[in-house]
Amino acid sequence: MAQLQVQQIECANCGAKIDIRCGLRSRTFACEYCGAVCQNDQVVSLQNQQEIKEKYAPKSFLKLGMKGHFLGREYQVVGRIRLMGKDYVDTWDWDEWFLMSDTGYPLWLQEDENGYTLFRVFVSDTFIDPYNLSDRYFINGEAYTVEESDFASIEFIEGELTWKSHPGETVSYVDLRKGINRFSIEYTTKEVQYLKGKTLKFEEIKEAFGDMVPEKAIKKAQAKQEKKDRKMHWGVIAGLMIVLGAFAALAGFSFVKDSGNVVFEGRNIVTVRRLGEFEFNFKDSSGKPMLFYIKKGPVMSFKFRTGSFPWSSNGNSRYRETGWWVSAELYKKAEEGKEDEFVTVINSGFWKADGIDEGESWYEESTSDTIFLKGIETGHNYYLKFTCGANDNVDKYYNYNIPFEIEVREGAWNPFPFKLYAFLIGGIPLLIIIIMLIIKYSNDD
Amino acid sequence: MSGEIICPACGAPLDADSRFQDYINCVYCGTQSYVGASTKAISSDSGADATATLADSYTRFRIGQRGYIRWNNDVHEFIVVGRAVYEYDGGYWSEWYIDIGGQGYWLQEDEGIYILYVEIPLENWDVVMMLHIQNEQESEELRAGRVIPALNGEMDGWYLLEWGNAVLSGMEGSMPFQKTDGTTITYMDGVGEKIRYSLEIESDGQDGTLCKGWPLEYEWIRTDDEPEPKGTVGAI
Repeated sequence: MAQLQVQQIECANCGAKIDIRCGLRSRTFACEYCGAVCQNDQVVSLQNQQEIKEKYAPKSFLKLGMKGHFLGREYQVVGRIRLMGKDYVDTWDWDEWFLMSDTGYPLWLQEDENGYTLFRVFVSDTFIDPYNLSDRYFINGEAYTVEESDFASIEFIEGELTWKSHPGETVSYVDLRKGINRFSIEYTTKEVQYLKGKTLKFEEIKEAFGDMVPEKAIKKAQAKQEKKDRKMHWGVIAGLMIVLGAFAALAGFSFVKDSGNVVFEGRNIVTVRRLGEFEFNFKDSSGKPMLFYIKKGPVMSFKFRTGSFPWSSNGNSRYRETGWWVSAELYKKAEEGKEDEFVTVINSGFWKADGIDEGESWYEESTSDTIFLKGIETGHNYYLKFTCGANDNVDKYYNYNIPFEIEVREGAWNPFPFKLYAFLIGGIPLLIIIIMLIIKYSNDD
Repeated sequence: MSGEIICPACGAPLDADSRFQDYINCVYCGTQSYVGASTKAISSDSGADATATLADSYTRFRIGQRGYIRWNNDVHEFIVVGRAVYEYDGGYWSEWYIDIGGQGYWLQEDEGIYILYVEIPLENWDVVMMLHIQNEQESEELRAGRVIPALNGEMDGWYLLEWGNAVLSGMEGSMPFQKTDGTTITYMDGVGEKIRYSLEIESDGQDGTLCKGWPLEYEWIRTDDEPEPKGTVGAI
């Protein structure tokens, strides 16, 4: 295969003999001795050689003169541009290595912190409009999504380019992506250029450049890949946890909340008073406590709900609170002739409060409560005995009839673990992000 | 056309076997000559620079080369008969004049771009003059992405993709036009619906050429002496 012939050209600034490989096609070249960027016999920029060597050092093992095989042909790295993009918050940079084949076909190997992307010119037979940006573009029937639309400035040039360019020049671009396929539109008032690309793995870079890839770079890439794999591993785990968190939140606040089969429902008007407790239960037509049969465990839910209840006369316009409690004793029905077995006490309460705080009125209430019990023996009948009364902070004359409801379910799910998981997975990170944002913006001020 | 034409400058025999021949370049002294009833030299001192430019441009093609083009749902054999090289701010581009089945086409080769063009009638000269004036005046109206009105009755408006001035910096082989090295043109390349267009304006807007074209992938062109590609890294 023919190779790019090395020719020499004089630096227009210092007169040094510079090797070029694109012959007369070379329109821009940087002097490796004085740092001048020349367009033929004109110096268009002077780059501080010492400073740029450190500041714009290649990001990897790639360097000018390297030969590699792409698209089945031999290419040589003949030039490099360091581009920088910035927005209000951040700056970022990347290298575009310019590769030339002996048949004059150019390629661009883009290198940034994420790896390598190989680009080639794409000649479109339709207009792909970068001026009126849309979210998606259809190119050759494939949908690409817009990843970035910005402009970048050329910070540094080394080697040679086959077009006129200089440090400080800006390029507007739109980057599109479809999986590992990339598409880039670079445009100025004089030209709209389309580039089609593909993300390359380090393995492919290694295959392309062969023996020219130093062992150190291979080890570094392997370490990076392992780190990336680990990151991805953790990313997958984190993603899974977040999905589970969302599911848990949904479960905790929605469909698990009222899970299980209803085994008992009761409605009653109960007397709630401050002085003296009121006892009641739900009876059948024969006057015996209404039984419910539990056949499915392991969790049972007891949902208590109050109807509206009057305010206590205690308190004032700035703050007042009224509440009442209910206590249910759960009994397991014994066989005839034996004494029923006391199982446990279930306590619940309801309250409402309002007031005025800094001129703003507010109101809060809790009129429903669900208690979950685990370990209730299945295969038996149960019944409940209730006691209720007004809270201690209610006035002593408080004595009202209040609607009360109860619903008992067997085979229920306790939503608390779901809610806790959702809070730990979603709530805490969200809280941290909010705190970080508050710190950030308070520092900006 | 016979091959018995003699270079008017050095007397060397000129190989003039192309049916499209209008211009010929002497391979011995670089003199460019019109081909006509009496062959006449038009330049005898620009040959050295032009030859250097041509020789220095890496390319897949050469005069006399044969190959195949996959285009228009078929594979077509071609032979390269001539070449013009233009210089512009973006570098150089070559326009290879090729023969496909007796019809002359232009194969543009420009930094990874391959477009097969065929000349079509240029009728709307008012638009050509308007574009020429806007270019001369560096008007902000003239910008990439703009819609250019139709230039003949068979085409619609088209989008401008690239424009600028270029200089003809070298020619070789047989060409179907009479131009000399150093000729300045204004080029305007664009795209319509599934078709490319190329407009070249000369002589202060009084003359010009319009071509319609079809983009070709690198792999769609094979030359007879090109080795088989090895490896697939970068196949996009």
